[in-house]
Amino acid sequence: MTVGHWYREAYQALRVAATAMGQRPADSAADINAAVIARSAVYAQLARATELLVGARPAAEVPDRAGASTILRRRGQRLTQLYVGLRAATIVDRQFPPSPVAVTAEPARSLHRAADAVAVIGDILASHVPPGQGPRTPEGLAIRAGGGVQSGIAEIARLTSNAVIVDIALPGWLNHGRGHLAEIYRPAAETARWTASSGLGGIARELIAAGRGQPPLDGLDIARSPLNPAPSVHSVDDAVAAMAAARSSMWQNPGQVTGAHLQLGTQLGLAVHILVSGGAPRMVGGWRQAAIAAADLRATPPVGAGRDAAAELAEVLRWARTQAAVGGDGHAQLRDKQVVRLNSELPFLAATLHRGLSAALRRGELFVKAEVPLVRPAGSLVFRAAKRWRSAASDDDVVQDLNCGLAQRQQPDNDGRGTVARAFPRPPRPRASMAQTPTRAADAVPGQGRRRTR
Amino acid sequence: MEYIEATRRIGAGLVEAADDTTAAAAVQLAIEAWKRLAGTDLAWDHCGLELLDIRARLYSEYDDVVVDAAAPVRDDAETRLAVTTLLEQLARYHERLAADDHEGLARRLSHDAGAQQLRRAAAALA
Repeated sequence: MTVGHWYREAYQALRVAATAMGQRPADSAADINAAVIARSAVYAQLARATELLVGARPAAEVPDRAGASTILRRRGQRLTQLYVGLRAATIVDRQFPPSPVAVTAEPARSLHRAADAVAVIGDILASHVPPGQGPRTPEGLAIRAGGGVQSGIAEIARLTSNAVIVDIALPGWLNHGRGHLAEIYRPAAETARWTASSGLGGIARELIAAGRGQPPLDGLDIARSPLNPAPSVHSVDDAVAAMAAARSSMWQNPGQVTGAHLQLGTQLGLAVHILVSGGAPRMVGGWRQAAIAAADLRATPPVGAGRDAAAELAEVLRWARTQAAVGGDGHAQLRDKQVVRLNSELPFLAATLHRGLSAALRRGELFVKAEVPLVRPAGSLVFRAAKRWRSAASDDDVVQDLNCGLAQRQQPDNDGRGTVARAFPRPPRPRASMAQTPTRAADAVPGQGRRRTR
Repeated sequence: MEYIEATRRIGAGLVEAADDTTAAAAVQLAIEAWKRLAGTDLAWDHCGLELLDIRARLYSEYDDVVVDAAAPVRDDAETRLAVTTLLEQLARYHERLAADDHEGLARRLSHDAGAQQLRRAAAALA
């Protein structure tokens, strides 16, 4: 499930909680304790998600409520004010014991659901941009460069706005309960009143407005490592997750990319391209050229995490090939959004393979057929050539075709416009001479910078 | 030798006295057609993807097989018929191996999968 899913889950849960507070007064202490604890957890998790998005604490010190009120009143950075407000909203001058049993009554249940959903958003972010570490994925790299941060903050602000609505209702909910409970929970009501009147809601509204039109983080999913054995792929969600796991692993460890990844990855690119194009070929050449070239390479087999990444690619390829097959009607079964999601993975895949190809070449772990005269037995149409393999070099036609094909595919051609530009601030580019490279080795002109290997 | 004539000769070899070298030559010929003729028709890519998978799974030991034939020159009905006929013959070759009790189960299953893939590849071009 993606950030967008959990965002909607949290949004909905906060609305239900606020409505429930107006419908039914507080009853048992266990329910109230659970609601108060979950309410603080919502704010704490929103603050955590903010930290993860911006890569640091927007404010080094979090003052008490009086200090926070001063910061929220003065002119200043809205992001810092949001963060200080969120942290201050978690301060309750009394600790309430959690219920030993699961609370099923509203609004505690919904508040708990909201806190969990925001926590998952934080976990997804942390899988890409772990706190105190460099980014783990291309998406994380883009987030650290500022991509999607404004829209992400706007989403946090929208949830904050809903949490403030809950706080507006909370004191009334507590007061309508039994009289003695109102006194016990006075610190919780005070905190809620502070939040409701602190100006946090207004700051949130400004941040929501600032995030309009920015690219959203809705599609961001947990960055998992390739698994062994590779999970089965039955749907677009499975396919996207497996592709993301494999390419993130290859992106992090370009030294583990081998010929198997290049072959499986380029074939997968071609299969997905066929699937999403729905029979209308658009710029298929890049993936086809890359797949043909990669098929002529030999390499040392992948090991360790590289083997797991290759297995994930192989499983998605199996699924995509079946879906794309004639009579499979794969495209018709895909909804537009799913097509966009699959398509948006392709530029990432191309850029990752391109990077891995360079690393594999430097290590001398790719091999091409050496030019040796073939001796044909007299009269035979089919014969086995005694072949030699040598380390591939960047000016080999196979390598140049692969390079050129992958470089073409890093440019999104439609719905994924700009994705790569955001994810890869300095994407690898082909040398100028390669842009005019003929597609097939047979078309190459000898002596013009391409060594024939096939 | 012309490409279409080569497909006929290899196809006949698959029917009469088939061996893995002849079968690998058929795969090479079909892949060559994909490489040379794939233009705007994605059917060739459907076909090519199946063939690459079959080659990697069943013919990795035969990547030194060479067919002494010219490359196909145009994507016309005659060439497509030649390639699909060759793929059907190759599919039948794998079906025979899949039915052979002397082969291990994994190998027989692999041949069966290969036959199905070849039929899909042929259907894509038909």
